[in-house]
Amino acid sequence: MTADAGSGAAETYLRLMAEAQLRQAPALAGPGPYRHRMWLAATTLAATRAVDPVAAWRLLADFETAAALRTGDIHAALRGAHPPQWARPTGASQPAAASPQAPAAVPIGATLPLPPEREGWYGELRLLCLARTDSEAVITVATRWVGQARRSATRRPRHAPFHQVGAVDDGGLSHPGSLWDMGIEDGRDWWDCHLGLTPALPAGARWLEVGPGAGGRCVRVDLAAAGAPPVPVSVAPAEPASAAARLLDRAGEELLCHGPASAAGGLPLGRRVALLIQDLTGSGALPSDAPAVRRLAALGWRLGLDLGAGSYRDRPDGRDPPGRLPPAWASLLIDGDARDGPDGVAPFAANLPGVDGVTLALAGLRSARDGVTLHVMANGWVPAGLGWLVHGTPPGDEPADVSLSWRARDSAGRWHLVSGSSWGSKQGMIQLHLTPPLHPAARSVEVIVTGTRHEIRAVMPLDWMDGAPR
Amino acid sequence: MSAPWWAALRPAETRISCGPSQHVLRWADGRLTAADHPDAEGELVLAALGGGKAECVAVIEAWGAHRDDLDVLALGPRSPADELTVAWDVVHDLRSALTHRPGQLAGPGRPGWAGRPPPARPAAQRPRSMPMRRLSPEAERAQARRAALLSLFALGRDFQLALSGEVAAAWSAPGRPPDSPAARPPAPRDLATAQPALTAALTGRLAPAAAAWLGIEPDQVRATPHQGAGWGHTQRDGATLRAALPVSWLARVWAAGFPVVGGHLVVDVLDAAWPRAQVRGLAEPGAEPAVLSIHHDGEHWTVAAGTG
Repeated sequence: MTADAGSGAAETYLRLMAEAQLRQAPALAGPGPYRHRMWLAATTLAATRAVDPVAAWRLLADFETAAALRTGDIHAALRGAHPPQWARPTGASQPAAASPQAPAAVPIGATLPLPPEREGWYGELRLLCLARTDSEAVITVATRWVGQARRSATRRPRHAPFHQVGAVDDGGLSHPGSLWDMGIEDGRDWWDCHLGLTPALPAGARWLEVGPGAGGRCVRVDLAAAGAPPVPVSVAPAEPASAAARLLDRAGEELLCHGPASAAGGLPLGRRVALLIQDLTGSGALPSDAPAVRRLAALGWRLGLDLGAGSYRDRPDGRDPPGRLPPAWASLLIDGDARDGPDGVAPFAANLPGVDGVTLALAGLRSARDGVTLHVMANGWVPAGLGWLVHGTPPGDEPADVSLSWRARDSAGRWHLVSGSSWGSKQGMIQLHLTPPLHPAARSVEVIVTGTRHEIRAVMPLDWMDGAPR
Repeated sequence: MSAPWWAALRPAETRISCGPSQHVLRWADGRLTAADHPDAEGELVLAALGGGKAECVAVIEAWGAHRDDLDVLALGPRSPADELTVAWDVVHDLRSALTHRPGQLAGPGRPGWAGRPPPARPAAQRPRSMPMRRLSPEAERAQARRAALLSLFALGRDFQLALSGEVAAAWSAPGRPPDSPAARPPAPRDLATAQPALTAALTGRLAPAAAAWLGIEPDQVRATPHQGAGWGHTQRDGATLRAALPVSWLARVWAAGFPVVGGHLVVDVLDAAWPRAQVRGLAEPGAEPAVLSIHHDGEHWTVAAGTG
């Protein structure tokens, strides 16, 4: 099948779905992810480029206008004039343009105590790494409340500790700091964020002093990171996989991370994944017996889900259907509910080689009992469809970016998948939330980034700040 | 097929406000005319040179711009039960929300659309406010084009069917001489690109008709554009009806309002002059078509006595 023919078949699929939906006289409920069946199908086929995203959006806009003309709600008639970012020729779901300089990170691994705030509560900033490009500089941070300087019945504040800090470089240039991505005020134990420094650091800067903290204390950051052992990084050819196959693999990861009953775009995730399969196979983007479909069918069988991909039909006797589970999936079926992760902060840094035109730097992680937050500075990539700035945001209403796949495996053999992300800061910082938590005995974690042609593996040491984790 | 595609379509007429007057717009014999503007083309030329544009002339211009617009088939009616709610005041608001430029869309000043719209449903809502986000020039053009199309739908159901027929006729098999003086055959590349839209347009209109014909679910209808000689073919496959019909079926049969008459699926028009037509219809899928004489009794098409 030629690309044009394939695209034509997928577009026909979408248009026939619109006809079927219109016959049911849909009343569009208004803003919200995946508000109707057509939205899910269009974003699915746009994500895999089975249909050009601009064409998919036009189809959606036409469908919504057609529905509006039949219900009297004419607001939707104008939606097509305001395409979302993903449907613009330079949309965010397409790979962002990479700037010439790749991000680079150096570990810090220091704690900046903060002066008392309200009712004597004082906190601290755990400074993990400094990550920078030619135009941006940030310090990845884990912050928390530590204690109370005086007796008071006041409960711990629900917001994150906040104290104005910045940096001064060895040339005496001041770099005021702004804390980004603190998340909502939810009274959690730790907040993961980053401190953006403005202006960016001069090319020849050798060190920084970050502060002031409590009592005017500062933390000195050696930009050369002398003495830090090199991180083992390997590059190997990636197993070829179409965008549609990668999207289904992502769907499987979401099932494993969130569970089939979790809600995604107004649907139980299991139901949504079944529709993804239906759209990708029905449109001809994937054959119904493609390995990715069979993998997902096998996972559905293990989870007790009928994903409409032959998982039950193939084996009415209840035995495992064909389709081997990837090791990471098998691991999550065993350890997915673990809540035994170490509490600790590991300030490792690694500058990864480019993959599919994307350059990345790993800038430390924080481990908790229920998962891991991995800091990444990216140039040329955003994890569209994986959340937006707020921890735990479920899959959004835009086509997922499937250009890169992330997995991790700790030294105890436990695999970890990305359950969500937080991104959108102008510095290109991304927090990837990994599940399940690290194994208590883990001493290192291998981060695996897979693009369309290459797979990068970096083994990061878990050298916990302040000694052994709790 | 000797009769022009529009021969069986009922002429349509409506009144719109044009300046201080109420003017008549009429669609018949495959073209839209404004009786009060005998030199509409000349007025368009003057408007392009910076002069004012009368509402009637603006409508004729919009009609011409959408005569081969596949969006008409994507948005327009699918069946007699499929009613569009395009209230005239909504169209007015949509057009007002756009940036008016001399000679564009509605002409200078406040649009004077006040013609009687088709009956609006009570639930029809006016936009409380139009989006005020700044649009790119391309998006603005797209929105103006969409508003112009909606204004054509607001002319009423007969006009919606006529415009749908014009679009279908324009996208019918290239190479044949166009029936309508305004129609032009699409380029082959465009025709290939348009196949998904034409397949959906055909399916979306055949499905409700075939469901009534055979008592099947509309979702069980699989239609494809027929591109060879003859009228095409149909086949029953269990609960599914598979049909290949030429895109011109939409113009000659569906737009005329007789996809199913007297228990027959009409597949071809042999001769027609509103309100009578000689057609070929199928009593069942796979059958040989029978010649039927049909006429419009004021409400429906029925088989004339002594035929069928």
